Amino acid sequence: MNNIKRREALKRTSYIMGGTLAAPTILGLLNGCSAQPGLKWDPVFFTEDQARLVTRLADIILPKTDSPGATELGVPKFIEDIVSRVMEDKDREAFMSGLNEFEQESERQAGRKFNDLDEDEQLSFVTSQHVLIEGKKDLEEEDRPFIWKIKELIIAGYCTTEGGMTKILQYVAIPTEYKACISLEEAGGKTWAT
Amino acid sequence: MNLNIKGKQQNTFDAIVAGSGISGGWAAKELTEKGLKTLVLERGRDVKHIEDYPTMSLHPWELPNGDRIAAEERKDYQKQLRTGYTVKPSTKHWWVKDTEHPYQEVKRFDWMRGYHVGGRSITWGRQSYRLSEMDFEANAKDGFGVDWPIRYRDIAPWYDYVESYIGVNGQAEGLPQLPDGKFLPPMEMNCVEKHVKRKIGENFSDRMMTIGRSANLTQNHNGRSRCNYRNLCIRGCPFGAYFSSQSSTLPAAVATGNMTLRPNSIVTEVIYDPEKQSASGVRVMDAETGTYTEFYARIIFLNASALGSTWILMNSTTHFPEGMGNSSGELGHNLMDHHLGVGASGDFDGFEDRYYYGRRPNGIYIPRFRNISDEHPDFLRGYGYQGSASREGWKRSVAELSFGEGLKDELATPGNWRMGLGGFGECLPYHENKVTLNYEKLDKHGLPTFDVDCEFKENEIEMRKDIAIQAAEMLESAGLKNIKLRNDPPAPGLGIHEMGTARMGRDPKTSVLNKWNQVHDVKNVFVTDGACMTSAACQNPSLTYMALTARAADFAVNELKKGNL
Repeated sequence: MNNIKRREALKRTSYIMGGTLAAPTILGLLNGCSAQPGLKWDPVFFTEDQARLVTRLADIILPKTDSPGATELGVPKFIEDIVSRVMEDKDREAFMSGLNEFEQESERQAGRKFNDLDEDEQLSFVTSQHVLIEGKKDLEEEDRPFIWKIKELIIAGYCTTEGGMTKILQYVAIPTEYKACISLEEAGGKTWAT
Repeated sequence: MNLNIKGKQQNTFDAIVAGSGISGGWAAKELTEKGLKTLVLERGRDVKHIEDYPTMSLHPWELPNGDRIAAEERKDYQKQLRTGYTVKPSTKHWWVKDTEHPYQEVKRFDWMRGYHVGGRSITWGRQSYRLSEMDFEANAKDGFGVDWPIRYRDIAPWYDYVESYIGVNGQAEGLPQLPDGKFLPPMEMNCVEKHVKRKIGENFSDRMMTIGRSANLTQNHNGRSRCNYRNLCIRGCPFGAYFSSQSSTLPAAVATGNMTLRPNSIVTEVIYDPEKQSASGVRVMDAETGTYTEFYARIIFLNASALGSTWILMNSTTHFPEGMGNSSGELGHNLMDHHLGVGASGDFDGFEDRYYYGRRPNGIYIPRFRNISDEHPDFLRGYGYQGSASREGWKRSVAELSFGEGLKDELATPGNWRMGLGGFGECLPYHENKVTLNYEKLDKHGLPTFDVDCEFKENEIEMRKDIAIQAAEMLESAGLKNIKLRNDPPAPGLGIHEMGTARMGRDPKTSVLNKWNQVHDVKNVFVTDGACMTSAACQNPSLTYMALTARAADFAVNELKKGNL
């Protein structure tokens, strides 16, 4: 199921990439409908552009479907808090320079800043970045590109919100008993949030 | 003059206990139940059961930053942070600020502790294992350290006694190296753990795996509620379902009407009466005001933690320039901890349709198998393993293939089964592993601090190689794949099992305490926390501290009644 979705996404992506890269004039036309979501919080550390980029990435990595998306669960603000308050200086600097490189790569590949791309272009650019980490479980921390770091934060933020823990995962605050070895179905069928 | 006499009477008790943690709570319970008016002095703040567990019922999303501590706040906890699991918004209030309570490391030593009523009984791992005859004989047999002045038969009835009171779950296995206790019903192993247990039994004639023995209640016990499987013990339990001073021993002491608990009371010195040649009381600094008060009693129990009790004796210099109880020169020496951060883990293919419900606050245990019937060529003594199997959760998904809607499906699907085994190895007692008082570098109260000079040596380092390899071999034999060995650079402290700095022994020339935990030089002072340990064994030690405390309290009260103290 996942693989099928991925293949479809890749097919779609290569089509879009081929088209857009070959036709810069169309890019200009599309500028008017670039994906610029309103921010759901007042950033205190990110610039407004950075906040938009993080928000957009959060919605691409974990979009709203029949379950909540990362943005409506407050994940972009969570990421700002982690980057600005929790990270050590060197990690913060690495994250922010990664974010800048992500922007530069967007300009290099697609001719414009990530925030100025339309939704399909953004998706195709994220897909091209995501290839860098797929299946690379053992990537050393210093070798992890920005897409790894932001995806990690988006997932971590999402999976520690009430919505993520109770709607995507399953959470029981007080289990009252322990059943050691039961069928997945009897256990509720979904990943335990804790 | 009259006022002074009245003041002295008010400050006079039958017994004083310094410390309210695992062993101090037991001393308080036993002494008060035997009718002694007992003053319990705790250097830290008061913590009332349930009332003062601020995070016990918080959902994960109610904790700031996904339960991560802010960088600015981390500056206060640079050493306490080394565990990696304790200094978080949900639990940081149980740990000292290193900026307020510094110590110096001649070599790296991770001294993890909290100053509050209950001490580390609130945060302990609850694993509860008996030492065996082999452990009490170990020093005599291979010549490291001094001989324990007791044997298993001396402590066995006291293990029975404390286990029956606190409630320890476990499976009786009949192993000589890990004696069975008075167990509540055992917790259950999950599917993969059961499989690995069976395979270890089939493939290794000298080994077995059992469910962990933990001080969590698997049924209602002594008025306390059974475990509700939240596995949030470290925040304090609203059900009182694991042993802590608050849930178990202090309420018993309160019920006698004989206990006075005094938080914010730092014992700085044991007062010695040279005429009577015994201790007459303790000097106490108020942690909030800095003022000193003296309290008096006929017997004094030091239960301030291994290094805390050692600090009090070392700082009792009015009549003992080298520290009280230090005529042997061993006070502060022979510091031990269990070495860990070594083992193996792997993936298990299969049981995809099996899962579990509830969060078991306990793991599995593989009892020691080295140097029992044969001799290992590379090291003395042995180790046990703790571990568990589980299915991977959402953290695995960063490097996976999908994002978008597919990622949601992936997050919602439990991942592969994995199992890990982590060793707990015995550390030999080395005289040169020591703490000394530093009068130049003072803590926030202006009191001297410790220089800690302690390291693991060749025997531990050789043992660790075997721990990692044997863990991998057992997992491999059980069919696990992608096996990864772990062997962190070993530094003592992270076991949070400091031991040995006022050891028991037969000879006052080579030990600090006798077989009843009495200070050889000052017989009405007892030390029954980790400081008393003559060797470390490889089992988690808290149960042994409890048993030795109950035993020493029984002896002390009998001696008092006989007029010998």
